Amino acid sequence: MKYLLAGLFFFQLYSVGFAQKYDSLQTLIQQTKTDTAKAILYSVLADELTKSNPQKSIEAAKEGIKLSLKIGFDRGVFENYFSLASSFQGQAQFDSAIHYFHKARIIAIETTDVSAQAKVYSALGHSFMRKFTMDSARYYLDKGLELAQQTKNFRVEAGIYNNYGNVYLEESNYQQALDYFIRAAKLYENPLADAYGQCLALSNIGNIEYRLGNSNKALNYAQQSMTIAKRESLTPQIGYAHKLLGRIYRQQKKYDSALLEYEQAQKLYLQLGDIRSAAELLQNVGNIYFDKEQHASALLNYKKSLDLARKISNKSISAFAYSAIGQANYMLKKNNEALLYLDSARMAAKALGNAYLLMDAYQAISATYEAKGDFKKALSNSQLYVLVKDSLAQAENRTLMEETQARYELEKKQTQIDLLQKDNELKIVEARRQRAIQIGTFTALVLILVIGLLLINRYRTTARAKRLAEIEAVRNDIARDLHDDIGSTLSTINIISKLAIHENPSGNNLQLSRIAEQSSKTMESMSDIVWSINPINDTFAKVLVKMKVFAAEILEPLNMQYRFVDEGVDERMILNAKQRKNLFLIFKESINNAAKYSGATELLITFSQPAKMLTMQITDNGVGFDSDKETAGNGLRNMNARANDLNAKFSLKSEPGSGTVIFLEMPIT
Amino acid sequence: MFFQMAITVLLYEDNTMLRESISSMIRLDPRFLVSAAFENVLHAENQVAEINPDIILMDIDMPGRNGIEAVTRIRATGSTTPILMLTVFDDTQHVFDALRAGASGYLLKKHLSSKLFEAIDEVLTGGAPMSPTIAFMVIAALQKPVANPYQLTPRENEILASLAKGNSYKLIAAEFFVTVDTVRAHIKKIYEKLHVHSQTEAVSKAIKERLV
Repeated sequence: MKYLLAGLFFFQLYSVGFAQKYDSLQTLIQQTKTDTAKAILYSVLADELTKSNPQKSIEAAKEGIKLSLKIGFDRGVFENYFSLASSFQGQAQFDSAIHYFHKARIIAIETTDVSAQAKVYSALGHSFMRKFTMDSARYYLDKGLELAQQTKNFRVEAGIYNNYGNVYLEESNYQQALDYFIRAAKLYENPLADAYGQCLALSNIGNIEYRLGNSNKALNYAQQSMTIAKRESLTPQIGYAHKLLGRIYRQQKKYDSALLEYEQAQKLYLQLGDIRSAAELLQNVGNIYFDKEQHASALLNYKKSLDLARKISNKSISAFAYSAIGQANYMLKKNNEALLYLDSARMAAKALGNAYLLMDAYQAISATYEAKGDFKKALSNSQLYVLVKDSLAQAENRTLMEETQARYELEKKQTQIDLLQKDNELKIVEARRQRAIQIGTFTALVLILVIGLLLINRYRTTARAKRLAEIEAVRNDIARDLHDDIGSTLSTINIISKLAIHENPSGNNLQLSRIAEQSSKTMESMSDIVWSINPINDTFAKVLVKMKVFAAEILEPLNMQYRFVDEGVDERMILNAKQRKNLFLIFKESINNAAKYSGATELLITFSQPAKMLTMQITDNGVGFDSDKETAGNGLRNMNARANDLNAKFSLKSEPGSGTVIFLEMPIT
Repeated sequence: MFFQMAITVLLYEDNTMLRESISSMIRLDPRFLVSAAFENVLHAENQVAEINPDIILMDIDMPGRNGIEAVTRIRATGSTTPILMLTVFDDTQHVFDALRAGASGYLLKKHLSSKLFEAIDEVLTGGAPMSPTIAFMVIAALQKPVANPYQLTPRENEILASLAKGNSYKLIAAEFFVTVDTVRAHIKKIYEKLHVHSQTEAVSKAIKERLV
């Protein structure tokens, strides 16, 4: 509602003429009861007064800020800060302008008004541009452009293009400047259909052509701008077009035409109350007279400019006016008068920090003193002139210098970095070399150690193997010698006992029979032991052969059928002495038992080799026995003991009438 | 008649007790007559020639000169008298060497009291038993092409191979669909082929060649 109300006032406002605007606004503010509308009106008033009465403009904006803050009206605060900043900018007080633009920006961000933010960024870019801080200007313009495009705010976008154009213009990059002005012009034409902007853009383009020395082109654009401005009754734009035409004519040395244009522009500015433009224009008029060497007329115009500048307290225009007046007086040989103004120009230039103006002032002062015959002062001022000129050149050079310096520093640093890097690389290479040597040495040592250990181990292994073989051989020899010796003796005992039985066949020969039997058994056992420790018999194949011979020897006389089944046992499998002895003896016991007690007609002996195991199963089809009840004699105990000795699984399963199964599963390593 | 029919036995055995026991045992069987029993073989060739026994029983390991050398010397004289070696072991190179030197068979001492007469009968009828170990040794020896003028027949090779695996004569007979006597005959042939060298003049040379 409030905005709507304010909008209504604006409508009323624009419906009245420019001349009455100021008074009307004053009246409007006094009559308005709504604070928000009042606040907005203050900012409008401030904008209106920017060029004609900056002081009042600032006061109005400050009133608007005060009121807006009191009623907590963010929009009002923003608008008035923006107006205040614009006023300062109009007065070339860019730091103040930037300060207030920032305040406006903060509010725009707080209220998340993107469009407002874009507008402030554009304005900040303009301020920095005017401060000749082009990087900052570009930074803010970039931000503004992004936001403007985001919100499709073409007006702000076009404004930003204009500002870009001005930035490039200040940098004398006319081509880029032209490009941006054309972009702005296009936007103003479509979709904005904004005659004001179009005029502005056209005159900007004309201005560039003018600066480029293309007077005819410049004239063309200026006249285009003029046509539109007149058609749309845009008085400020008509004024600006006249001013531009004046400049172009001056360039073409068509001084009268130029003066004519300036006069018309001046009339319009005064009508509009645009004191600032009027003041600036008077200096242009003065310059024409100066060119025409009508220094008195020039002086008159310069003085008029100074009056106007003083009226609006514009120090920048004042400073230029002082300088111009001084130089005109100098030309008129009014040296004292000239010195007075030139000194003012000097001080103003210093206050403004405008080195170019200061340089001009010193040059003029020096020339004046020279004209006066005061060569000493002429010289000192000349020196000052040179000093400022140099410092200016230095300042200009400084950027270049600084850049060069920076580049040099950078290069120096890069060189140092390169050197360091090379040094590091060398160190790394050296370190690598050292490490390689260390690793090499270490590896060599380890290798030597390992080889040494392996050799020692091998030596020990071979020595041990050799020793073992020797021990085995000796053991074998001892066993054989013993067996050979004892075998003969046992044979003798065996024969004698049998002879004794034979000599006395009717007597009780039980004891003699036992001697015969035991001696026979002992021979058998000894034979088995000798066989088992003989390294020749270390394979399963040899064990199998021995088993077969034994089976044949025992079973064939009894007419018992037997069959050996080998279910894929590796015949070359190595069995140690203990394994082959126990395996054979378990087999032997089983066969003996089968032969003596089973009454079987068939025996099946099966061997298999599951993973890391060797199994033996002896099955008979004999009478069997109750293995749960009957405890077998020494035979079974011996077999169990031998199985234990082998870490083997051993079982004997039998039932009366269904034969016997003996199973052995021994681990093999 | 009875005594004329007796089979004369010559015995070499260094162990006195055993020598006397064997002699006593043989005397028990009226079919046999111990012509002489010596404790060494130093004069074996002459003694054999002089006594001319029907069979010689000879211990392998004897001091001074062993049974193998004695066999070689006896055979060198041209004697074909069967020689039965007496040994504690049947798995030694000695037994095999003795067989190659001309021995007719061998008997394990542990079987003396039970199998002596049987063994003598077998040797005299030419059917000396052969253990798997010896069969294995025969195979190994005959596989060497050097000095092997009498190649075994394929059947002899098959029987040897089966024998070396520990199969009994009975099993071998069953395996090749022949009788046990046929198997025995094959074994006898194999023994004879082993003896070939002992019957040539270049006995020692042949032995040397074979031992290479």
